[in-house]
Amino acid sequence: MDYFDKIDEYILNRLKGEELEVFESELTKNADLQTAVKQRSKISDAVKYLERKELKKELQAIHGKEIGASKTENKSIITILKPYLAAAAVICIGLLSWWLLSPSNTSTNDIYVSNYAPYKVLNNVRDAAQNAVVDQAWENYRAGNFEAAYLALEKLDNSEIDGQILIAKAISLNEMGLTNKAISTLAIVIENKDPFLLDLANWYIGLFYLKSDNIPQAKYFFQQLANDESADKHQAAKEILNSLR
Amino acid sequence: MVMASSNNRDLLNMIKSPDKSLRNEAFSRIYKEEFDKIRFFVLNNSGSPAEAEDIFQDGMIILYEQVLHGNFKEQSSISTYLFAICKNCWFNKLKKSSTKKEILGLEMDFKEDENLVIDVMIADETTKTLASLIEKLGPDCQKLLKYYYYEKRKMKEIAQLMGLSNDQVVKNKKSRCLKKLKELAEKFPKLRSLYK
Repeated sequence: MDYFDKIDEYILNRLKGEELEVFESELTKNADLQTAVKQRSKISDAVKYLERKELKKELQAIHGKEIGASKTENKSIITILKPYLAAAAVICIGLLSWWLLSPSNTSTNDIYVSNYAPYKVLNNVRDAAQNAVVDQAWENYRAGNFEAAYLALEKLDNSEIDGQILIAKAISLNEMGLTNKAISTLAIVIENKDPFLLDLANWYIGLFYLKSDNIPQAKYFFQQLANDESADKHQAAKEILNSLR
Repeated sequence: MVMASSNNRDLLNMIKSPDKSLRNEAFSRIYKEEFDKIRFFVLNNSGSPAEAEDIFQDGMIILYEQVLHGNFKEQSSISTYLFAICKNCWFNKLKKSSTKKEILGLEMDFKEDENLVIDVMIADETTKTLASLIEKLGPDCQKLLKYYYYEKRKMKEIAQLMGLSNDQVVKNKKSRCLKKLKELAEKFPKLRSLYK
């Protein structure tokens, strides 16, 4: 057997049975073969590393197209805010633990029902290419035909999607009984940090967690509103937090 | 949904295709269907949106490699498989993390599969240096080495993909590419221990 001809087959796991045994036996005693196998394995690793790096770039581009801005575009701000985020996390954990230790006397469903009302679409979300779909969606949404509204909103091009549309989608999903999916949709709005819709998204996600009886998560989002005096639902969030104690 | 079997088969064929645009179209479809689920899982288990994106992309790379190397059974659900990989990657990352993080919602039926717990972008200095030299070899050598070592394609298939007359021509070209790489590597002090 020419062992040096078999190196690639060995590192690609193509040698089987007796051939493999003979090769491995030679490998234990032949230093030149050991060096050659090590070199070829490293080349294979390097090719794999390059391809994975390339794939990662392509997936980040797909993320940007299908979901929204990739994390790489926000890296600098994240780096700047890292120490503050860490401090905020410690405070949040403290607050969360404190809330967790306080037993709740009020039914979460009662709180949800008394606070929940579907979001009213205020202005027209316009996009020349998608006008007809948007019109149809809003018509159904305002009429309370949430399933039809959701189906229409789903037809919209994701890359063009507006935060208001996402909120409407989440409300529709919740009305359709798909509260978990509604929560993931609102998470996109929160992640995008749209200054106009962040409070609204925190409010609804809090309510939806309440509806799902996930009190720690609900408290976390209401706390975001309670911490911000300028938030629209600041007072309402504080009251909910009080009643959850 | 991605899990429908005929759709599953179509997606698998697209992923395996050497046509990059078809493969990326499959990636986009999987991304649209599955990302929210993973993000929700990571966000609910002490992770950030950026970490969710990272984990999902690493999971997609692992899925791609499993499909490419024939380790993914056609009847399996892409959705379930991808979720298991991402969950595993995240679990592994949490374990490695120096900060003690709370793991909420990790179902008890989740079993760690050591084979799947991988950090896909980890590489040592030697590997990174060799990778930078491979990038200097030119597009044909890079493509050939990718087909051979990463995609693990047979010589005959590589000949077809690269428009070469037969597998012997591929073997010769591969030898030349590796020889050129060795010449480049020998000039690098970092690689001297490898090419002694």
